Amino acid sequence: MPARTAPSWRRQLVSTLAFMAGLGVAAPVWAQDEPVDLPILKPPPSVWDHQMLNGRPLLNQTVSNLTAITTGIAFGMGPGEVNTHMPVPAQGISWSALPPATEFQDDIRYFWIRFDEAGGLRLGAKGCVGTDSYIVFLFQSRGLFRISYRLVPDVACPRPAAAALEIFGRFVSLATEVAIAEHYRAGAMEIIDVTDPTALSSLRAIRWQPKAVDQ
Amino acid sequence: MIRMRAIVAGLVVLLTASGGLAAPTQMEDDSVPTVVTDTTRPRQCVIAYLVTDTVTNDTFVSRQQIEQTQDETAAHGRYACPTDIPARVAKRALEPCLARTGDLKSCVYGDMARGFETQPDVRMTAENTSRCASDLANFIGIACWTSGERNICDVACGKTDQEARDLARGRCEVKQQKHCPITGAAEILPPQ
Repeated sequence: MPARTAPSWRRQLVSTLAFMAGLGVAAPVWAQDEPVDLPILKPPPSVWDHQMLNGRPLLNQTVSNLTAITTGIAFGMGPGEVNTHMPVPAQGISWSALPPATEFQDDIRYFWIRFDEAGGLRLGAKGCVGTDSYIVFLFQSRGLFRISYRLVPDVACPRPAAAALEIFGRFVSLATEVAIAEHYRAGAMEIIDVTDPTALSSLRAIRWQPKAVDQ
Repeated sequence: MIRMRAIVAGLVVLLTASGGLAAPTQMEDDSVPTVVTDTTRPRQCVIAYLVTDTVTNDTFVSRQQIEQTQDETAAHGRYACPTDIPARVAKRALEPCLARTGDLKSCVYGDMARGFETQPDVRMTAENTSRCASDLANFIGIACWTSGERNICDVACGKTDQEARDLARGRCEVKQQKHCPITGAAEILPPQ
């Protein structure tokens, strides 16, 4: 009985694939290593008419969508009212008692709380953050216009990026007519600013950067 | 025996009292039923795009729902999507990223050309291969490799979360000639 050999067309295919692989055309085979999950952020959808001429937001969101995330805090609230929503309200919080936020040219004032003492405002983030992480509440004279998460790395948590993405993801689910969330980095810090869309664009454009430490 | 009588008496008291304790039914107070969503209704076409902020690597699924005409009929619970999508829809798809970044040039489509790492520009990405239609797939997937701090990615559509990731990974590895272990996927249809 003669030995079975591959038909000529199969030999040709094998040699062609080998040739393509040599040219780098075929799919490369990589060593298996740890897969990494990339979380996908989900902003509210848009809807278009059948002709696809006009698009608009699919959902009608209101301030209640924001307060559901922020434990009742809404833009426009005064410092005293925001303070009452803190897990442990501080004494003597009022507009006149607040320090100025010097990154702004306008009269903007703030107070802050530690992230690990922020209760529901931590939004259930499971990713690690450094112990010096904090949340800043920024006010103009007519009330709150920004909540700023500042996630600081430390030895125990050198990259708070996962927590930043979790927090950012919660605010991305809001329409930009309700709150504008921005995520950026300042050095090794992860910043999430949640800003009132009705605030002046000159205020909205300001991003916080840590001051350089004098040597 | 006495204990049994006490139990029966207790049950009678509970049953008669429960009428007063229970909340009124929706018919009794004439309120709108809480369930208002018809989950059997066919789903309208949704075109889902993946867009990325190249500075932070934040990746957004940008869903664009297209209304159907009155005479269209659904197949398998979904309305067909148009085959040609105008550029304005693709442009709108970038907005969830553009509205949330300080640098407008950092928002690009998720399907990137080879060499994107040296030329990180939206012109090195393709909108038509960064989208999936709800009548053809259930999930949109992405797979990436990292050049320095920046994710370099490609996109694919799949029937399942895993299939979308696997197809995106295959596409990324062939196109980029790199190992692409970073993967993600999202449902094309938004939750009802």
